[in-house]
Amino acid sequence: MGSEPPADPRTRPPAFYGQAAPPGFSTTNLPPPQGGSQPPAPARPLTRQEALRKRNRRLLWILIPTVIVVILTAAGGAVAIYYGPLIQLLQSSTGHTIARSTAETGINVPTDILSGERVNILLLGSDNDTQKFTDGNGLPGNGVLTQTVIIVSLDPATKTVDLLSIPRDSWINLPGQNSCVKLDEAAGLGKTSDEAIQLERTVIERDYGIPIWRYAWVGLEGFVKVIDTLGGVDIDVLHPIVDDEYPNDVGHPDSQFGYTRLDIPAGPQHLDGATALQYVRSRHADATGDFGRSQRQQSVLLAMEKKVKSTDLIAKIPDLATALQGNVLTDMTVKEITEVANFSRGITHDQIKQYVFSPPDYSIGSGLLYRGNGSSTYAVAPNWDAINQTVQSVIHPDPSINQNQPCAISPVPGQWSN
Amino acid sequence: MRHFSCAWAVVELKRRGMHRQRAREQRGHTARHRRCARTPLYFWLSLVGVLALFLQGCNSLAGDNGQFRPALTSTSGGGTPLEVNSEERFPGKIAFVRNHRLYVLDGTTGEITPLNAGDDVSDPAYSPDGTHLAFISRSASWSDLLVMPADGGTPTALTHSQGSGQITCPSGITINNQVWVANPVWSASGDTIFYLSDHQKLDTACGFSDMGIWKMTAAGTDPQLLLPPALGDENSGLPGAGGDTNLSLRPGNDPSLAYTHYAYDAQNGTTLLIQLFLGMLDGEQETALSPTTLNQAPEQARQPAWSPDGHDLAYIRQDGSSTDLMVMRVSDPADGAPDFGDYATRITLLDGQITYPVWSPDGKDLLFLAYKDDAYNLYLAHLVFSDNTIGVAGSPLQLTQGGVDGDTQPAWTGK
Repeated sequence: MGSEPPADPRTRPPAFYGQAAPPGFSTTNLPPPQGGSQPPAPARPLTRQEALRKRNRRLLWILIPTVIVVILTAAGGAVAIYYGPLIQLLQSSTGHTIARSTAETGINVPTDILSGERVNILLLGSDNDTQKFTDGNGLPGNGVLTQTVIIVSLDPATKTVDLLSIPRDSWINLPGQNSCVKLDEAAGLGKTSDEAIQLERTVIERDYGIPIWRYAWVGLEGFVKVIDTLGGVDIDVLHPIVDDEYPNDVGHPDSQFGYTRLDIPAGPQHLDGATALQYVRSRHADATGDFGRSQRQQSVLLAMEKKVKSTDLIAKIPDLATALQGNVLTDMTVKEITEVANFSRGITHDQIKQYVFSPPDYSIGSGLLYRGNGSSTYAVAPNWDAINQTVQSVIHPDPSINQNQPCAISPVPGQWSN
Repeated sequence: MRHFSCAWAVVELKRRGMHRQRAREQRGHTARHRRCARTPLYFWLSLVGVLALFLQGCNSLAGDNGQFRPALTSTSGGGTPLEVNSEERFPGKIAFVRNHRLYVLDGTTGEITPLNAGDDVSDPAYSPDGTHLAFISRSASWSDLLVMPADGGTPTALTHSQGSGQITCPSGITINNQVWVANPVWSASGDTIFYLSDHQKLDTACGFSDMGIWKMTAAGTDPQLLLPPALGDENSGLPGAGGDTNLSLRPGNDPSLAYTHYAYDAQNGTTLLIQLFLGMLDGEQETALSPTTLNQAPEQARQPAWSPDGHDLAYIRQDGSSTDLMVMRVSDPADGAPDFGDYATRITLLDGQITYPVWSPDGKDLLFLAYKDDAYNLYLAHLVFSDNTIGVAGSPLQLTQGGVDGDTQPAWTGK
């Protein structure tokens, strides 16, 4: 490395920026620059070359703003195309508040859900999506069964998350009626999607004593599409799933009551959306029925959470938004969703605890129960002492919440086991 | 080579840049502007483009150690291309599955060859003489066991599981009499194939269609149920957890099958038991062969793999979310009934999830799948044996990069 050569005193800014000086010109014999203390040069007619240059300059001044406007318009269009599905999704699916019923009186819901207190979000998943639904929102109602009921409880103070699964066969009070039904039937008795969600929310609050501040519903087809958009999930399948009676209704609107067969091997593997749905939905293959299914649902939920953290979500936003269109509904606002997402980002799996309110610990028996009309149905009788104890220790609900009296059970003789 | 090319390109560009900088300093600003003025815009755009391409290429390899070379482009889903470790060689061939298609990795050349086994296949198993490959071909609601020449060719179906009729279950629903088959394993002579199936449900009118252990001739004749799945007793537990899987044949004078037995605890009906079991080939089921420490929940043992001499049993132990590769020393197969359970050696391998151990034909290495960086890949561990311990020499070697299917066991032949 040699020392820098001294500056050449003859070197001055060139007169012809962007192009070489014409032959015969040098930087030393240029006319002095305009302005300054020098008197202005006398006016003279423009040469042809100068006139052309002036016209070009004028054209340039027109062209540049035009190009900028075109670029901005195109960029705006691209942004609209890119985020259009997201905007549409947010408009149609978020902030869908469902009025509190009279049975929910006394449940205090703060306006700022992450203000510091524990937040309980009711996560619902239902089968058949829009196939039996008539109120336009693609939500459960008119006989559609809720397959997944999970309370996602976030504690901003301790930065922990608790997942509480409630089996759909749990025998509970039907809100507003002097009768008992299974949990999934409660939603099915709603005439509209809002009623269906309101009924499930009321059951969780009044029977289980868990105040619900927000809900989020996801349809099965949306579940499949979201997992596929994320590129699948990696999961350790707990045990082989061999099912001869798996409902063949997703993607087959003409075959709602058909069956297909499943064989999912056990062990770590990559599942696409359709297989992940089969894994969380199958129950005829599992001797523990809903208990096993609830465990599988929670493990897939955790795998999805892990996948979301490791995925470039920004790039997938349009696809995700399209996938969720008509398949998700929540009363959370965009701001709240963002806050919850930010909260979840800092949570590790060690900070997540899982509970399944199923036999044997959380049930006093299962089998055929008589309904009020004399017919019978398979149901699980919750062990309310055990459930209340767990709810108290995990959720710490407001003690002023009035819990319903447990439903009476009338087992069919010989068809009930404790 | 690709890695080297990228590095070279960056160095070369830097070198040229420094050269230009020096010249610029010597010539001064006038010269600089003159050169810029002479250089067409498309040149700079092209340069930026080329640079971006080089950087893109370099970035795609960022994080690897330069040992891998492209071997196979993903055939579906636009996934990551599969690369093989260009430095690792081993005797024989390894059959594995990627995107549900069957491939063979030649240990002496490092070449990967796709086999025309069709779509959605799994569970490859080499015949003892290495000339044939059994595998499973899956359809939407049934599967069949096929055999083909090890280097490819026309597969022959040994089972026909599609069914031709319907059965009515006690619940009242009508289902097709289709069945699943899985996990073929050849006998030492190559005359018999053991496999899993739920075929017995046709005799029991539905119920839980857990998988039982079956056998048939290598020609596909005379299928017989060898061991039923869980029977509901205290030893085998309650059915309804999927049944048996991961068959591994123990060679020797008294051959037997080790397998993973899935059942629910007969005491409470809800605790999932995942244990290693031993089944004698006369159809007698032994008790769980895991060491006592493995039988205590939540620890679980699965995916047994007998060493070629029948002395050692590799398997996966799971405790919560962590998995360990274990090797258990078992009494000499010539001594008659095996003596299990005194101790098992935990082989520390990787932080990621480990699955499907497979012994090398000479018993000196263990092949397995490990989940790391969002993908399952083939790894190889060289074992070191001493009197009462088994360890690994150095770190396991990663054989593939880019992902293989994690739900199916690879197969290794020395032929």
